[in-house]
Amino acid sequence: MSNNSKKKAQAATAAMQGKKDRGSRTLIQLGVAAVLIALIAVIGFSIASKNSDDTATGATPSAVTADGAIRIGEPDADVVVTVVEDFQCPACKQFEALSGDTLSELTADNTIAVDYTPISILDRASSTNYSTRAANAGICVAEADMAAWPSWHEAMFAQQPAEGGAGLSDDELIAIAETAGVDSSELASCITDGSYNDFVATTTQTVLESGVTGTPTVSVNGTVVANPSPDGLRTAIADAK
Amino acid sequence: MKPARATAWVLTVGGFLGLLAALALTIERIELLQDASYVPSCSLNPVLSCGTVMTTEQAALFGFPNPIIGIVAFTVVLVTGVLTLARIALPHWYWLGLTLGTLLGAVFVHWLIYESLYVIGALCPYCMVVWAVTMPILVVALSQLVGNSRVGGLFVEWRWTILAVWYAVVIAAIGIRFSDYWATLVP
Repeated sequence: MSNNSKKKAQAATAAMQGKKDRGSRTLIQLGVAAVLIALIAVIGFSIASKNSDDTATGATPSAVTADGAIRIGEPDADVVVTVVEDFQCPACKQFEALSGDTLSELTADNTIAVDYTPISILDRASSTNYSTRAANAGICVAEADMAAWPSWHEAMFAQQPAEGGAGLSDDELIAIAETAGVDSSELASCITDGSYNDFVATTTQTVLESGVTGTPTVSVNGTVVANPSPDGLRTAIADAK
Repeated sequence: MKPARATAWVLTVGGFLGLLAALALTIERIELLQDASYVPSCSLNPVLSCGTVMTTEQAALFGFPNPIIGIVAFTVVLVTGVLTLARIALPHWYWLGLTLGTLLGAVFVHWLIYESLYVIGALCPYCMVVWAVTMPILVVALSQLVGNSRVGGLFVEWRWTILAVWYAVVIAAIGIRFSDYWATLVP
């Protein structure tokens, strides 16, 4: 063998060795990546499932209707206006400003009862799940003092926080309820602990499954009112009678 | 060290995708300014919502929309990728500049990921394209910069593993943060 061809043969062996090395190194790298990713996935799943376990149990309120609504007015009224709303939803605030007084008037003279169903579909719009916390506060207030609920409800929309922020704090929610006249020793802990968060989640699920696609959804005896202005509401209520 | 082919391709494709996403975000922002009721093409639901994210303060950290930075920066990355594909040798200091720039970009992107997940609470699909391309661009730029040293060689060897784990961490964070939303997608 000439010197030259010897060198060539050596180089070829070295190259093959290099390829082999590279192959096994790639395998090691793949293995390490797979193990680490699997570890991250397991940790991720365990945290996620722990989070969802948190919403599996919870208290059931007694002051609400079978549909999870807070009924204002004559309990056995012939005409029931149902308002599905989210305390974070700007359109709900507009609805309250536009038609809230009309509903209060009609409730006051016993023409109708109003079922307010607070749901939480806009938790993403705040960094603190404000929708759920506000709806929970609604049930806390209903449990503590039904008479204070309408003015509390009005105050909540008047002080609605902007979307994309941190929402109102628990202390602010408690303050609004106290200003509305709720005087209960359990109010603060009910709001702080989120006692009815799970109930709100369940109600939200049920309401969405029933075909509600957004808030506010206003219906009269089960029929959705397309134009929930004061006039539109009065017409729909008159028709339902 | 001659750049690996993979480096050239990652820079070209990553730069191109990043540029597209930054352009889309800028155009959507302008549409939104002209018509406040405009719904961006990537606002699909409360979780996947460019509109929510684009209108936050974080989306214009320096007083103007962030994607304008992206248009300039990803153009540089794209051009670098094309030059490298054409086998044009770039000096060491050029790669240093590219790596430092990309490092700043990556820091910024991770701050945005944090804000998007834990403060804003919504995901913006076009922004996520930018997140996804910034990581490999940093990895290949750094590889090219440090590839000649001993420690650097080790980094180059493990770069795809590092990238994969890095992706996994970000995906896991997104998965956990919005787990109840993802759960609704599974029947």
